[in-house]
Amino acid sequence: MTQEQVKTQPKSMEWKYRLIESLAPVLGFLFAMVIMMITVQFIGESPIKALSAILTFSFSQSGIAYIVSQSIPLIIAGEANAIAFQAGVFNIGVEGQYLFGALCAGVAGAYLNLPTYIHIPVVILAGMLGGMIWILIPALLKVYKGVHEVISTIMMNQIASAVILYLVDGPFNGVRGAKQSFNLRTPYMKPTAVFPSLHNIVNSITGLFGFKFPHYVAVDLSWLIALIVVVLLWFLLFKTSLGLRIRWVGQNISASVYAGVDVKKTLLVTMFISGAIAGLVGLQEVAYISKFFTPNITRGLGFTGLAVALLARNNPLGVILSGLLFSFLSRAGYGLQMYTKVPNSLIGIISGLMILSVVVIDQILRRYARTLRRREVG
Amino acid sequence: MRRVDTIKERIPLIELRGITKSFPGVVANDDIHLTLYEGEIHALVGENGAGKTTLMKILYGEYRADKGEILVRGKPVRITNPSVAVALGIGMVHQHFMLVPGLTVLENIILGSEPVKNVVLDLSLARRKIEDIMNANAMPVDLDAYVEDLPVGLQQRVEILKLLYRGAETLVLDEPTAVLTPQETSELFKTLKALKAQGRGIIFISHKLNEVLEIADRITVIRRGRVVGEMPLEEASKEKIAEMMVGKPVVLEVENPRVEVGEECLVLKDVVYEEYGVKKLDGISFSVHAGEIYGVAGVEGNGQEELLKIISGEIYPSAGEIHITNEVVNRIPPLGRRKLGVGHIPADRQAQGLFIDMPLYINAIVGWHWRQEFQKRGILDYKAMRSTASTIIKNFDVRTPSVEVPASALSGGNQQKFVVGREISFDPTLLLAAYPTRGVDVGATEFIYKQLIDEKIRGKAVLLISADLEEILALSDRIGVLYRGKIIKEFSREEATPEIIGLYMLGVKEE
Ligand SMILES: Nc1ncnc2c1ncn2[C@@H]1O[C@H](COP(=O)(O)OP(=O)(O)OP(=O)(O)O)[C@@H](O)[C@H]1O
Ligand SMILES: [Mg+2]
Repeated sequence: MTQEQVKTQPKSMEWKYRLIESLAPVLGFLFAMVIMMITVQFIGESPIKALSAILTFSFSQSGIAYIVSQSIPLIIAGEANAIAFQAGVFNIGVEGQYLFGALCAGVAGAYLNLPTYIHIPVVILAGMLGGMIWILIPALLKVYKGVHEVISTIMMNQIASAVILYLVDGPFNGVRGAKQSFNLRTPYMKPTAVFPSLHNIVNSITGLFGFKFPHYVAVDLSWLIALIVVVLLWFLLFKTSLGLRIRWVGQNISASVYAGVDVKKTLLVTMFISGAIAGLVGLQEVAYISKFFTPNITRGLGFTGLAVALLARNNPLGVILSGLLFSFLSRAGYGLQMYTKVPNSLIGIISGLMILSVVVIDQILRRYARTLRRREVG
Repeated sequence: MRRVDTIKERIPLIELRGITKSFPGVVANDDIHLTLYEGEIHALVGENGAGKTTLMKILYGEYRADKGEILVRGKPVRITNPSVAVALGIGMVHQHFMLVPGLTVLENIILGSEPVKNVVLDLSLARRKIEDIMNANAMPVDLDAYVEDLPVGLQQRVEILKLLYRGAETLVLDEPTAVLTPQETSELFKTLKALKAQGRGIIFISHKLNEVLEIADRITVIRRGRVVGEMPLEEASKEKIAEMMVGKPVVLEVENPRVEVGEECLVLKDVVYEEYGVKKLDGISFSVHAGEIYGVAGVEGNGQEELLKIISGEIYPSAGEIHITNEVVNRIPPLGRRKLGVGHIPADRQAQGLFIDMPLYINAIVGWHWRQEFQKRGILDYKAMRSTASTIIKNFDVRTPSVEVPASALSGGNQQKFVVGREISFDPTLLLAAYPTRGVDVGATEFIYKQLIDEKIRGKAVLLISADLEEILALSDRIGVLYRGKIIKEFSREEATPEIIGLYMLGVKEE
């Protein structure tokens, strides 16, 4: 720079704010543990016992393996939310989108007869398509009628629950005569449609570090899918022109209009991408673990995905870490359930509290760092 | 006029001593001393990026000084955040307003210090108090109007009411007139004089030296973070201030030769724009040729905003035709028009022209991101973006430590220079220039004038919209007067005088 103003390098406190920001999730996590112990104390169980139960349960070989494996759907759900957030869209509907996507995938796997190298891609595409169909109405309503997506996607979540029940009870019922809803499911998927296991490949890599994933933990094609989603999304957002436009729309709509960005089209594209990714969330369970679709499929991943994205600041790479953290938290819940006398009905509450405290502490600290930065460095 | 030496004997309302403040790569304030007395209007002037806003933000508790002392009525204070400042009777109206557009005037004024009676909001008490303030200072506003519906001048009045409602004795106004029409400015000055008569102290920042000489009692000039002079009004002149600011004499005149005009680059034929049954543009017709600057004069609110939007493509005409470089563009969106070579300096750099939290190398391509050089098969070329940003910064003297900083780290005038530089750098065929010198200093104003004239000499068409009649007269080859959504009269530069244009602007004369 040629200007006189650059004469001293002021002592920047930047590193301090960076530190606060990067420690935020860690402190949030510690706080969550404290909250958990306090709650357990209230219930009349020993907090120390609870903590050690969680730790031994989580950080055994199988515990770690489970945490990693179960982070896969969380990571995918986190990415679905992150891309929407980047464009300023609150896709609360990831929940409904993955339910419907999983149903589509299950149906495509059960009813089509195809060679395996086509059948598996078709199952994946069916999941994505299902997710996209389920975001179609909220996307159109938002872009053309100005209906806020929070309202419409929440309603679509309700509709999804009802529709999958109807479809699996009716046309796609795989167990004739099953009237009890806990028995409802689609027919088994054809062997050609089932996701292959990746145990061998993954273990040959992790084996170098002395770690093996046991056979009963899901290590399957959905890992690769998650990895591809992460990388593609990161590339899209930060390396491509479309990604830049998506971020522009998320930051300032009137500047985007000024710049010549087609805001409506960008919002539509983003929401479809988000829906398509959401459609992949349930694939691990449907196409590998149970090999059929059932309305009793794990619920709530879409909502946890919101928290995953929030903690990762909507950064596709950060979503991996935050997905792992949330996977650990749910594992911790199981630990309590198995090794302590904490009643089952309270486990959900404790898990919820832990998620809440991670997110809240993280946000508070980040805001604190921002205020400091604004005041000192501007 | 009060004598300076008698003022000096009294205890100042505010005293800043040795304020120093650095940002990474920049010393924004370097050992600054400043005093403000009761019943005084103290003007703070200096180039873009000189450190005026920073100094005021320190006084208002938004930034913390690295060094230095603040005294309020002779007592040292530590102003750690704006609420401390407010409690000490200090209020600030920012360069960029901070109102909540979706709330009413009343709600905006009381926001943050809501009157409470037995746990419930006591609106009628607040209303009475505000009405008293409005009456005492002759500054009426409809308290139930929504802020987003108010013209800028009234929004600013709301900002000032907000300060008075909180009992501010010291008012800091950061470039309050940059966005005002001349009429609004003179209303503001009436208010300021009333406030001064009540014994309040006012710090007034402006780049318009005429205004400074009209309203200030004392003037402090800062340059590159240091005070380079302080003088009472009697000793000040435009030339003297300008020279102190820049460090060398400033020529306030620019040469504006006429050149041979080419074909029509922009044509509007009977363009109508109707919104909720109101004709914002009512059969407007004019054209701009290559090689000329066409200035649109008019009182704000006669269709300037809609005119810009309809040419840039943000809105489409209800009737009539728009041609840009011989193509009918009625339903072509902004991108298509930019591809025809339309550059656009927007009216509001912060809300439209920049993504304020993104780095300069990204802001360097806003509106031009579609160009070949920035992407290969949809993949961004960051190297090209960075070099474009550097070129803009160099050619337009944008003061910034690097292209990596977010746009928000630039001073207001430097943001403006960056946007102007960007739009000119891409060599547009038609340049829409709305208030191009809003918030820039005298030196930069002159520079931007030269650039616009250069564009014209190079055979480009320039449409200039400005609230500043002097600016229009200095730059335009032809001038159209916009009145109630129509060009009611056109002048050549030679025929135009401020008086006659003024009459048409007010609709006193009509063809
Ligand atoms: N938040 C910030 N972060 C980094 N640098 C900043 C920040 N705010 C201001 N600066 C730098 O400090 C210097 C002074 O800026 P300031 O906004 O005080 O100027 P100014 O005198 O108000 O100029 P203008 O007339 O253009 O509004 C500039 O070089 C600017 O780039
Ligand atoms: Mg400023």
